[in-house]
Amino acid sequence: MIEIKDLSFSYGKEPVLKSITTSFEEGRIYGLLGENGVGKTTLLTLLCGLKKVGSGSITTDGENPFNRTPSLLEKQYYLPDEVAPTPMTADGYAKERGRFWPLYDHEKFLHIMKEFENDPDKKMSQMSAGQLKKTYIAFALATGAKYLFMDEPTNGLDIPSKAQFRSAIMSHTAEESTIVISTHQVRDLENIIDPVIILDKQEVLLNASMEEISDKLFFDYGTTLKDGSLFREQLPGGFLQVYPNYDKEESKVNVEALFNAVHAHKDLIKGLFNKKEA
Amino acid sequence: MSNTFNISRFCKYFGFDLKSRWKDQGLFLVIFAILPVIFHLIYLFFAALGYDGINALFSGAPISRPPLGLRAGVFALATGIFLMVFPSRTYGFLTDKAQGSEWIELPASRIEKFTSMMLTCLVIIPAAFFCVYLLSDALVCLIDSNTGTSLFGAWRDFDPGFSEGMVQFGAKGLWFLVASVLQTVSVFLLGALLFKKGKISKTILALFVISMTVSAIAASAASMIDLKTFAETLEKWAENHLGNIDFWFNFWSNLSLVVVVGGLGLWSWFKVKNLQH
Repeated sequence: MIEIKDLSFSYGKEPVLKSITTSFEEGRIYGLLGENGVGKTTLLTLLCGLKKVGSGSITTDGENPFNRTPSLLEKQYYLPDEVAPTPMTADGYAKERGRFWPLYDHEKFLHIMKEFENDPDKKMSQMSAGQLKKTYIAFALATGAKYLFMDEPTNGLDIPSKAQFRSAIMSHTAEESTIVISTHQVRDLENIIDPVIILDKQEVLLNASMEEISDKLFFDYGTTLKDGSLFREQLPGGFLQVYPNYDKEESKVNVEALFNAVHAHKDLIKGLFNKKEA
Repeated sequence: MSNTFNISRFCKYFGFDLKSRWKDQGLFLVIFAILPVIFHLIYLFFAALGYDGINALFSGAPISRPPLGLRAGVFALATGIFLMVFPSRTYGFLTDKAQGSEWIELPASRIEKFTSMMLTCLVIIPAAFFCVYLLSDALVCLIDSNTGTSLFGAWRDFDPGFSEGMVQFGAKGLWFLVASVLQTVSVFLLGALLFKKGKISKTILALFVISMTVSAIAASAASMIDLKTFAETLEKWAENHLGNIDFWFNFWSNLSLVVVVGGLGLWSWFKVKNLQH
C-alpha cells in the first residue's frame, strides 16, 4: 500500500503539490486526472522515487521510495510518457533487463507483444512511437511488478492498440497489483480505471471509487435538459448531465463529464465527497 | 538479500552494465584504440605521395615511417582526447530524463550501480583502450619492420628517472600514467554527471575557471609570506630528509592524488545518489 501524508513539492519557488494526503490501495487501477501542469507526472515520479519529496512523506509498503532500495525497485515499474528508443531488439532489451525483476516472465512479454501485433525481433530504434510504447507496456506488464506507474500510456497508440492495452492491463496484472495511470485520454481508459483521482493546482480534488462516484453523482443520458446540473454536454440525440445524486439513482459514470463537473464545482464536489468520510 | 550491497546482484548488474556500455561505446573505443594503424596508413600514403607518388608504396622504395617521437605524440593526443570524451559518452545519459529514469529504476542498489560505474570508467575502459592501442601499435611495428620500436618496447626501456640537484627521484612511468588517467577520468566523469548539455566543454571551462581562481589565491598568498624564509625552510627540510626524500615525494604526490580522486569520486557519488528526474 502506498501512503502519502501531507506531501508538498515545488520546483524552485513554484509550488506544484501542497499538503496532499491520500493513499493507493492494493488491487486497484487508479486513474490520475488533471489539467496540464497540475503535477500528475510530478506525483508519479515522486511515487516511484525519481524525485525527493519537499516535505511530508510517501511510503510504499513502509519504505521511502526515494531510498531506491533494490527490494522496492523490484516491486515497481515506472513507464514514462517519453521512452528511449534503445538501439537493440525488443526481445534482447526485455531479456537483459527482465533479469532484475524476480517475477519477470519473458513468455508473458512475448505473448503481450504478440497481442499487440508487435515484432519482438525488431530494433527498438527502428520502431514507430506507438510500437515503442507498446514494447515498454509489454515489458512493464511482464515484470510482474506489484506497483505500476504509467504516465500517459495510451499516447501514440492507434485505436486497436488502445483496446489491446485495456485488455492486457486487465488480463496480465496480478490481483494485488496497484496501478496508477496518469492520463488525459480518459475515454481510452474509463472502463478500467477505478478509483479516480483528480488533481487540481496543488491539491487532490477527488479520490473516489466508481461506486462512490455513482453513489454521489448521477449521470443523466436523457433527452431533456434539467436545472441544477453540475455539468452538461450535448450528445447526438440527447444530453449528458451530471447532478448530485440525491435520489440514489444508478447510472454509468462518464469520467470526462465527471472531470468537467469537478472542475466547475470544486468546493461543492469536495463537500459532497467529504460528507461521507466525516 | 541486502539492500546495500549484494555480491550476486552486483555481478549481475556489473555484467549488464559492461555489456550495455560495450554496445553503446564499443565502436568508439575500437576506433580510438586502432589509431596507430590508421595513422600509420595515412602517414605512409602522404609520405609516398611526397616521395614518388602512390606507386612508391608498392615498389619497395625507401619511404619514411612515422618516427617514434611522432607516434608518442599521437598516442598522448589520442589518450588525452579519449579520456576527456569517453566518460560523458558512457555515463552522460544519466542526466537524460528517459534514459536516466530507466537507470535509476533498475533494481540494483545505488552503491552497486556507482561501484560498477567507477570500475568501468576508471579501470576497464582505460585498460582496454591502452591494451588495444599498444597492441595495434606493436602489430604495425611487427608487420612493417621499418617502423622501428613499438611504443610499448620504447616505454619499457625508457628510464624515467630525473634529477633534482643531488637527489634522484625514482619516477615511475606506469604510476604517472595511472595517476593521470584517474584524475582526468574522475574530472570528466563528474562533468558528465553535473552538466546536462555541453558536458566536455563546460568541464574544460570549469577547470579553467578553477585553475585561474587557485592561481590568483596562490599568488595573493605568496605575496603575503616571506618567500626567502619559506625557501630556506624548504631547503632545510630537504637537507634533513635527504635519505628518504623520494619516499616523501611519492607520499605527497600520492596523497594529493588520493585527495583529488577521492574528492571527485565522493562528489560523483552524491550526484548519483541524489539524481532526480
